Amino acid sequence: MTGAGLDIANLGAALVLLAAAAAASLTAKNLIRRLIAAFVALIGAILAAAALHADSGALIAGAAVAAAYAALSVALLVRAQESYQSIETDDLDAADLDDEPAEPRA
Amino acid sequence: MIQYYLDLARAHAALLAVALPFFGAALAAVVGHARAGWIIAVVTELAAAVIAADLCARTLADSGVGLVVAHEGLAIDADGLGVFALMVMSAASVVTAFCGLAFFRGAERAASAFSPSLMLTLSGAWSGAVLARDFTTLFVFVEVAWLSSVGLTALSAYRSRGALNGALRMAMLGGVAAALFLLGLALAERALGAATIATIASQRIGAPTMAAAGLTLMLVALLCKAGLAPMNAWAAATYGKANGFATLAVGAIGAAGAMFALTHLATAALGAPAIGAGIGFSLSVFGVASALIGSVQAIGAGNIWRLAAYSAAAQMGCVVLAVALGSPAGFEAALIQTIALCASVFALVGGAALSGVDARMTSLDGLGRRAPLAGIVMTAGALGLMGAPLTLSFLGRWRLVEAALGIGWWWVATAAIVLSLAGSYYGGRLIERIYFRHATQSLSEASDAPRWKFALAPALLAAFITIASAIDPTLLLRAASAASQMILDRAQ
Repeated sequence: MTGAGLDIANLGAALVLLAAAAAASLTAKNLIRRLIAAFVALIGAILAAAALHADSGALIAGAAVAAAYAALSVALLVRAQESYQSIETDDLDAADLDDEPAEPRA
Repeated sequence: MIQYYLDLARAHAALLAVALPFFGAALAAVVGHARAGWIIAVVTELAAAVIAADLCARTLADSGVGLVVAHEGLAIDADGLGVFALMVMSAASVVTAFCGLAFFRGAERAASAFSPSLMLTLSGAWSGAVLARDFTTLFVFVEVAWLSSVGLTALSAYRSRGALNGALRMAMLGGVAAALFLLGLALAERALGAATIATIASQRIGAPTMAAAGLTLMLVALLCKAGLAPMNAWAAATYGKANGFATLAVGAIGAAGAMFALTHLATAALGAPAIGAGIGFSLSVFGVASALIGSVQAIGAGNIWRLAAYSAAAQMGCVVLAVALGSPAGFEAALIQTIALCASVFALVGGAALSGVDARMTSLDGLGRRAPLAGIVMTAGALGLMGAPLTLSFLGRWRLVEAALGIGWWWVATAAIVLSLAGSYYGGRLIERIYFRHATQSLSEASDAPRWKFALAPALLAAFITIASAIDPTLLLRAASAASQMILDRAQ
């Protein structure tokens, strides 16, 4: 396979990874899965950028941003588990709804 | 000697205005003390605002002719839009920093100590984003701003654990948006053969479809970070559950920063003959979708903060529509509407904090009698959301309709009018409760920190004056018009 052909194959694989991970991140019910999927989407984007021969500064910035998201997400997950005793999005939303002050009845 | 340093500072004004908040953020984080952090935040933001105001006055007064601006090691450029946006965001940041004191009573030590630091990072990063010279710089600044917004929201969890849910949504959606931004950046750079934003319009584009796709992906990422519908799943949770300080930082500085950064990128792309029309059409679709979905969500909103978040999405849809027009009048309308949106958020959040209003709609009942000052400010905010006559928001909509009809986009004018009618409904709901209902409950004694209420005064005053500035908008219109003209000159 030629260099150009390899680039196209790399780009295709990276785009599939990005699209699948982004879809999973938006639809998964479990927060760990969601955040891992967002991280994988970022990795997919870095691979796609590499296949497109993006500037090395952009690739390094992408890797740094992915690492920052991962670190922040893990911290938030731990705090969510402590506060809600769950990491299922439905449980979190239901708990938030319960916490909201109720409107007084007329 | 002093004159030499002053001239040196003025030549590097753009860099100073971006760097000062970061310097203050580092200092506030090292000090780790709530009151000291607040003082550092106010002082650094004030200094940055003075520098930004001077730069804006010098740039817009003579349309950049004869302006001495050094090229910095950091890839930033001070163009007309950049300095205008820098001044608006610096002013919003000073006011936010000052009123921070009113929101920290009862907060965890970590929250009150580190919130000023994160707010400064957010403000500096959005300032850098609007001045970014290339795609990579824009990407880095936008992500730094977003990550600080997530942190700032999460620090409000002492008040309500729902803030954590909001922060998690922001992290998840922001991560996906960052991936799209990076992909778009690589596609655009490959298709354009360069990554400089200002030269997009003057370049010979070999692969226009790839370039348009890349730029559209970057714009979508910015739309998500601004909170446009339907990519605003994080907005309601964040506005409603975070404390007032985080809401102001994310809802006013963050939203304005994202809108200005979007305008910065879009204006460069719209000037390119090969891709401008396609990008303009894509933006108009996103704008109409956000305006309609945001309005419908706001009409059905069950509490005050959801209503604010959704109506902000509708307003931002109008800003995007104005940008999509690609004309000086359209850019002018976009700049005015962004300022109006910022002022409405300040009015609603500040008024609520002053009077102790919580998320419930019923907590607004009879507010006009119980807390007349807060009632007036919140009414001004609601009128701003509606786009009522004699408000800045109305002026922005008016300019949008004029600009749309000017280039024959009658459907955009129709959408803006329909949006204003929807705004009258949901903004009217707030006003009706404030002045035409009797209180059904006692107020939860206005922020349990009456001593620090004075800190809200600048925010309330600035919001009121800005919203009412439509009575004589000459200065603002002249500045917005000069900035728009410089955008167009740069694109040609």
